Amino acid sequence: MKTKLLLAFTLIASFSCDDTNTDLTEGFDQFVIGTNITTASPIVAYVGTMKDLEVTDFNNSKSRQTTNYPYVTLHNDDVFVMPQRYGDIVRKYTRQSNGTLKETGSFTAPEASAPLGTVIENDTRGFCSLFNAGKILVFNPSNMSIIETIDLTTYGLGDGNPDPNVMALRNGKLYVACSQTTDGFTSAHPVQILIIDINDDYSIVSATDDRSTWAGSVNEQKSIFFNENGDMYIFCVASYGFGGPTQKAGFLRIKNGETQFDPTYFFNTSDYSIEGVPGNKVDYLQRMRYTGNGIVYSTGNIYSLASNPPDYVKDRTYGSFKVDLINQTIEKLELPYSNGMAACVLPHDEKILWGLATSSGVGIYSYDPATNTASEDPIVNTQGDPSIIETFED
Amino acid sequence: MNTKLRAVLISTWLMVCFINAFSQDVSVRGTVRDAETGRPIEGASVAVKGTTKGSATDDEGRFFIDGLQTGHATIVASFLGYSKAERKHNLVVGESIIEFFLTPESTELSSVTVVGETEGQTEAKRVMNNVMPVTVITAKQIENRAGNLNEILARQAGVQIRLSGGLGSESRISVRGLEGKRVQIFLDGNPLNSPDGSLGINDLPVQIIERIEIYKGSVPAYLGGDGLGSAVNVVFRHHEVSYIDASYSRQSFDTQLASLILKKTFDKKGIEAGIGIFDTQTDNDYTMQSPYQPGLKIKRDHDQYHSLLVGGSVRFHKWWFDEVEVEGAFVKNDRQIQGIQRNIQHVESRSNAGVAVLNLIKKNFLSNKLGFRYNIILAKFDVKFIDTASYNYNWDGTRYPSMLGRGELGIGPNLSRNVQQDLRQRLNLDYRLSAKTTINLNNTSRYATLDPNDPLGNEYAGKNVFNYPGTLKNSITGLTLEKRFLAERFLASAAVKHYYNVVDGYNTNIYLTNATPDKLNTVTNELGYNAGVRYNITQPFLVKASYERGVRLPNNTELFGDGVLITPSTALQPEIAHNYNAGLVYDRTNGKGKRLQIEANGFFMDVDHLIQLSGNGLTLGYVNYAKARIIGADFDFKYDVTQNIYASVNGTFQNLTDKNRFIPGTDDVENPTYNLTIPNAPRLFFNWSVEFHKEGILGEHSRTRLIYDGAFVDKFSYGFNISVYDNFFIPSYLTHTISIEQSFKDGRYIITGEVNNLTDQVVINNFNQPLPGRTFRIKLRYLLFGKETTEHNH
Repeated sequence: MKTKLLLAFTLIASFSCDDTNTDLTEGFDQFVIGTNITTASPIVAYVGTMKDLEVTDFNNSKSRQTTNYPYVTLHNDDVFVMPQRYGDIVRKYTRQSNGTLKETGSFTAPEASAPLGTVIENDTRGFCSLFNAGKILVFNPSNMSIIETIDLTTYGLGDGNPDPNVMALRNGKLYVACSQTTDGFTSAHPVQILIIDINDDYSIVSATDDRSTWAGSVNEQKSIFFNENGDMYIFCVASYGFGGPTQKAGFLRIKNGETQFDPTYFFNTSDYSIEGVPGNKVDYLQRMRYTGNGIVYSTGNIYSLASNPPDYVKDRTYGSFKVDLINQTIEKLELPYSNGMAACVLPHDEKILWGLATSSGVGIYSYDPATNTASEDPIVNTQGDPSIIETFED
Repeated sequence: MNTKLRAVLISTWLMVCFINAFSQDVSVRGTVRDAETGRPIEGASVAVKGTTKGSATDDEGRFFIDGLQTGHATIVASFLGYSKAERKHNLVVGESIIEFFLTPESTELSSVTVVGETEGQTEAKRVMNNVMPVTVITAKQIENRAGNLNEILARQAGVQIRLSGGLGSESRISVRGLEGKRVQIFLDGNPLNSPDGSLGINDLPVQIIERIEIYKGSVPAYLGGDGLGSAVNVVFRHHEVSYIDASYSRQSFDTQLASLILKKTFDKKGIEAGIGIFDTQTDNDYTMQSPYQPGLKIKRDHDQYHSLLVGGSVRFHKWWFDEVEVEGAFVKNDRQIQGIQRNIQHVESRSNAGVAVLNLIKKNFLSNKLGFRYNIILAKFDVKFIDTASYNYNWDGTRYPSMLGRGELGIGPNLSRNVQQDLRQRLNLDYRLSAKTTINLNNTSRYATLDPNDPLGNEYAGKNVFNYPGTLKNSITGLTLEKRFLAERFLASAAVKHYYNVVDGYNTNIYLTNATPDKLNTVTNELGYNAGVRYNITQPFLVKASYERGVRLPNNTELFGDGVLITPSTALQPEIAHNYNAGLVYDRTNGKGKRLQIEANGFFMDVDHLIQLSGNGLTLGYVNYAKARIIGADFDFKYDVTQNIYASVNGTFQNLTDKNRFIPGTDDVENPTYNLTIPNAPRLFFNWSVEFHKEGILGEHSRTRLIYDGAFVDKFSYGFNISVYDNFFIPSYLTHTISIEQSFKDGRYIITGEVNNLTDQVVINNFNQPLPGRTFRIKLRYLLFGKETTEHNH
């Protein structure tokens, strides 16, 4: 590691020898990194910024402390941190030129409402899903004031809450994935997406499909996304495997301009046979990013890798995958298996970055789709299991 | 504050300040000497039988007891390693002089029978003279206090009580940084292993306690449980005469405690019979600042707690056994669950426990060399958990259909009943190999069955996730060898403990879809051992050092999970601790009865395989994970400043560091928190106390005590300190408690008033769990002792 650091420094120094005023710490950091400190009980997490991928060892000395496995949304220079079920306060941080995040606002969601997903329309309107309350807060991202509340509780099946989780916004329509939990950890109800017209008094259209259950991977805000045609895709986790073998996880879609699921499309990932994976199956996909041309890079849980009963120290059950939505294929990538407190993914430049906590390293791994090769070790070691890698827009 | 309560407190205070009374002096003075050498014995206990009057001898063996009544009295002198001596004496106005000569008898079996408080002090001293670091809280310190046992324990060096709410709430005792299940609780030497919610140490009424022994870093092998080297042993009180003890206490937050103890002795037949009833009720309706909603103040309205304890015993003293005792007790605990993050309105637990005990004691048989203690306990715990509400609630009282369909907590409704049945026995044999050498064999065995039943939870889950019974069989055997040298000045002790544990249960791993989970069985065989020495440099000044390999066995919940999101972890290993302790004790009473006690300890503990809850982001389970080092020191200083003023202060510093160099389960991936301070453990705390006590202020045979207690706990972190922006801290707090205790007629009538947390400081010692603020208490007690008879000879 020291050799890499020296080499990087030498290269930079050689290119910048004419500019003696260059300061590596100048300018804004490019990445947002979130890690979970799993050596503590209970687990706490940190959200901070990292300059670039030249950083070989990322620590949290200037990160913001938060609760276990937070979710973040980026907008301009702002980072919105949602505490999910561990708190009520959504905080906004703004990146600073000195590599820190400055707290620049917050709002308090209703008690125990579990602020979970946030999408920002513009500088004056954003939406935050409240998983436990069955509502969506409409807020002003600039001053973090709450504008109004969209009540979805009438859509709850079997209880008073449809459990809104991840969301996506396109053409004035807010697509809200609903878990429709039956007992907190399983859903026996069909997949449901609520399509909210944000410019028409928040009128709501419900789309359901009984080919799977539990729309959206709760801890991946990008498990609902649009392709180049404007078709909405949603990954359905099928109760994360708790619902038994009859529930099938997979991708469903609502075509551009439609308000119901496409009956011709369901990529059943549960039954797909994957080469190179113990048991040839992935239980569910957890973290994912769509990169275009029908390709999704994802991590997913491989049931056959889990000890019985689970061994939370040694088990590394999350594999890395390339998913082709068009041809409906899944290819395992040669990256080491991770535990579930990390296993995140981010396309960056021409590479795919993976936040993995493996048995041989903890940090950011790199995969090159062009050559189908991956780093054997982390290119950035992180202090804690990385569950967030994001980049600012510029 | 309740107006009536305030009026009583003020009037009591005024009485103390302005009323004087006079009494005639009746006193006894003398010396206690070794019958063989004639040397004075320092620290011997001298007590007037049937009263609370007593004293300890100074370095010249002298004692002085005043404030006595005229008439016939029996004066008792006792000291560890000597036979007890009694003198009948007709006390008259003025000073009587009595000389005692005690005969050496070097065996633990001859430990003094508790007669009065000073003999209790002697027993406490015997415990403190052990090789282990131990704090002893005597009945005298606690019996009339209006506070509860948790508060009393939290004032001791090295001890913290991690509370989650008011009276009846979940609490964990922490000793030297290790807490919860790692600190074993014993009742009269028997491990207290009750399911959550059924019986805790704070359920014990203070007036039935003779003393509390807090072992820190090393535990005698004759206490048969497991633990990582720290333990609390509560020794119950035993008066040898007939008596009535009735008390009633009223406190803030609509709290009331009532108790009645009746005891009758039939001396000719050698029979004692007693019954006790203790009832505690509280609303715990204090106001708290919401830790989740800034600016929101919440008056707790679903935190009621009701505890009823009824117990009875019959003792026989004139059988072949020195003591045969049959005891029975019933404990009922009903508690509501108060929400902190969410407004909980209907969740509650109800538990009933029944315990039957047979105790057999035979001292000094087989040529006066063997002592025998045996007890067998049959217990049944029946714990119900009720969470069936159809609605959830906001803090403003508005409600909405349950987000779970039904239920307010967890993942759905529960209407569970968990029945645990326990059969335990304890055998203790103490054999005197020679005048200076004893060997002790202790075995505790246990067979327990656990039978959970939750038809509603199962119905809601659509399959059987809760109804999986389990059994536990264990046997813990300890063998201790103690040898005394140099005329008792040097004591060496070594013990070995064997743990055998068999747990049967089911693999309820939630991913499994087979209808009946596989049966599982885990067997643990483990050895623990300890050794220590104590040396009296002078009679009052001793040094001690000890080492222990402590073992804590994983319990049922850790091994088998909760059937839902906590999956089984059947490969769990026992937690292991290597504890090193060294300490100094100075304990001296001068001729005027003024006692100075100084104790200082240093400790070093390496603990491994610590069990903690972990997960994979979706499900949870217990794992052997943390490896920690604890380094610390504590001191305790107690001094009778004058005959009427007693002061004490203690302090503790302890630092827990993460010693996992690599992340467990990896190929040498460096642990990012290696060598950092482990969070969520208090690091620095102090307690101090000043007591004024005087007899006769409010008339003849009255006694007044004014007590001030202070406590400070320094801020500590809730997470590893990693960032300059860390903000998860449990803030420091400083609390003051004032107590006034007034007794009349030699302790027959006692009134106690107390204000706990006088300045209404915000106190939190568990993250996001606000505790009650200023609390007012008043307690009335009536204590009537019967007369001793000449037949009373045990």
